Amino acid sequence: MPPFNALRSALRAHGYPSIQHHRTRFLSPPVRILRATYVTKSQSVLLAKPSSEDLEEAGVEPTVAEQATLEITDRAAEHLRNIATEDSDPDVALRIAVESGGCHGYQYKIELTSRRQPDDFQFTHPSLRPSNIVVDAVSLDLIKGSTIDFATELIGSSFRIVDNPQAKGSGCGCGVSWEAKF
Amino acid sequence: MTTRSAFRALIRSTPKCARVPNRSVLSVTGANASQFLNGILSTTVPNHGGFYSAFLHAQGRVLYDVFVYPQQASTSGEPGYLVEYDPRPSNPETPPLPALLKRYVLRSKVKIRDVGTEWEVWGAWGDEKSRMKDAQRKWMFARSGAIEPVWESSGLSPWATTSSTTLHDLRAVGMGWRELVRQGDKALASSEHDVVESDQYMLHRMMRGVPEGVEEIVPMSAFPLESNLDVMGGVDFRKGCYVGQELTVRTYHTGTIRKRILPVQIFDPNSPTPSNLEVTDAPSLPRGSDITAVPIQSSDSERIPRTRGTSKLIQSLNGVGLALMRLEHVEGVENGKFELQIKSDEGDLRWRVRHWWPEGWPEVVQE
Repeated sequence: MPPFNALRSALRAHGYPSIQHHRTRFLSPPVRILRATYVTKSQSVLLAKPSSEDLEEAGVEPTVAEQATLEITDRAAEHLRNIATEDSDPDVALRIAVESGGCHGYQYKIELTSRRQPDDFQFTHPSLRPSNIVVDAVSLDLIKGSTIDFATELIGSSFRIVDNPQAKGSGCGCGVSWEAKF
Repeated sequence: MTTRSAFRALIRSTPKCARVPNRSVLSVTGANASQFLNGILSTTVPNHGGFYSAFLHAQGRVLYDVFVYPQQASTSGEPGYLVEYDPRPSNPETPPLPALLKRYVLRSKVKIRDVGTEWEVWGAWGDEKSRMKDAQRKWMFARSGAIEPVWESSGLSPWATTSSTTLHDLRAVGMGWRELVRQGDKALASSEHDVVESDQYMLHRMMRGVPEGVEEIVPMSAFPLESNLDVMGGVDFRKGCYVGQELTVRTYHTGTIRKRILPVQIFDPNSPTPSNLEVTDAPSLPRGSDITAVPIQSSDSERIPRTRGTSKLIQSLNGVGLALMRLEHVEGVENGKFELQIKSDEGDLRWRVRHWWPEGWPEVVQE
């Protein structure tokens, strides 16, 4: 008898459900299902954008302003609102930037800021406010259309950029960097 | 025969130099230039001196093999580099190098300019001074079959010379020098070396197992270790992240190298197997020709060994070529079990092929 079958019949003899059953139970990705099912998100509102002179200064095509969209999940907006309340600073914003680096070429840089730069686009959740997100014009070209989420996990919670239409494949093994479509 | 070998001895003894065809130059300057290049090149950008390196794709394939010459911008004092590469278009998915670099600039202070019309690239070899440099090379081996040259140098790149536009070409023993020459100027090397045709350079390079440019290291298709970038000193396995590092380092540590680019002799099936790699009047065969390993019939009823796959011819000139060889085939030929053949376009006539382990490469150490 092949070892696998022997194991299966041994398990069954001890009252365990079949191995087949175990496999479906443990290998399904619960996190992914949660995100798809329960996380609500909205199209963000563009509060401010750079002037065409500022865009020229930054060396970016003016067309980037036409595609300046981001999605923001409710839990990300709520978390930003909490930060603003705690800091008593309605101008506090999540700054998202793209840098070159890592083994797949690009990585995100996420930080809190209260200062808007001339070439920044400023976004917010349509109803949960204040929930400012600022993205410089160069970075926006590489993250437009993405969803900004706040993921709560046992080993640490953090803001994440997910479903980036410009990103290709699953990125590098350590999750730090990603590859862009061109 | 005697005249030919006498002639060859004469050629060997005179130092030669030639223009390297199909090369262009980009200038990369600005406050962040070193950091910028370090993030995307497969070797560490040294504090001082030029070097050989490559740009890889995120999935670990080679995009461009390059020489990098550091330049000090006289007015601003900012760092600058001249990056020498093969500008010929290869396949539609491969971005031209200037476009590839511009994608990674983002907000870093880096300027990229095409200065290809200002420079020529020259190679020089066969002189006593470059042989002395070659003697300092030591080797390191990995279980995967990767081979790295090791140089004892403190901070200064082993490729560097006293001139900012001349490098030691350390890709293989006997390669000599690499030089950037201002358009219209004479190559520095031409004062002590005989100027020869570019074809001579190509033969010299192929005989030493050194592939170069998009025809031989095909962008988006060639792997760095199979293309000898490790042996040539073009990959740093201890450096942190750079584009393509993940797959390359994984292959180094847990993979096995099954193919390598080796010099080959292409010869008539009716003539005896040559005992030296030499220039003949054999025609150039199409790039990508399949090289098959055919079992040699032995008299005893020994089981005929089977071979998997084919090796590929990637370049040839005057009977000398480079081929991406399956190491399994190489071993079979060395054990006398196979011979290598190429089918010609005209029909049944086949060319025989003999591989050579390049002169100066270390003996393979199998664990």
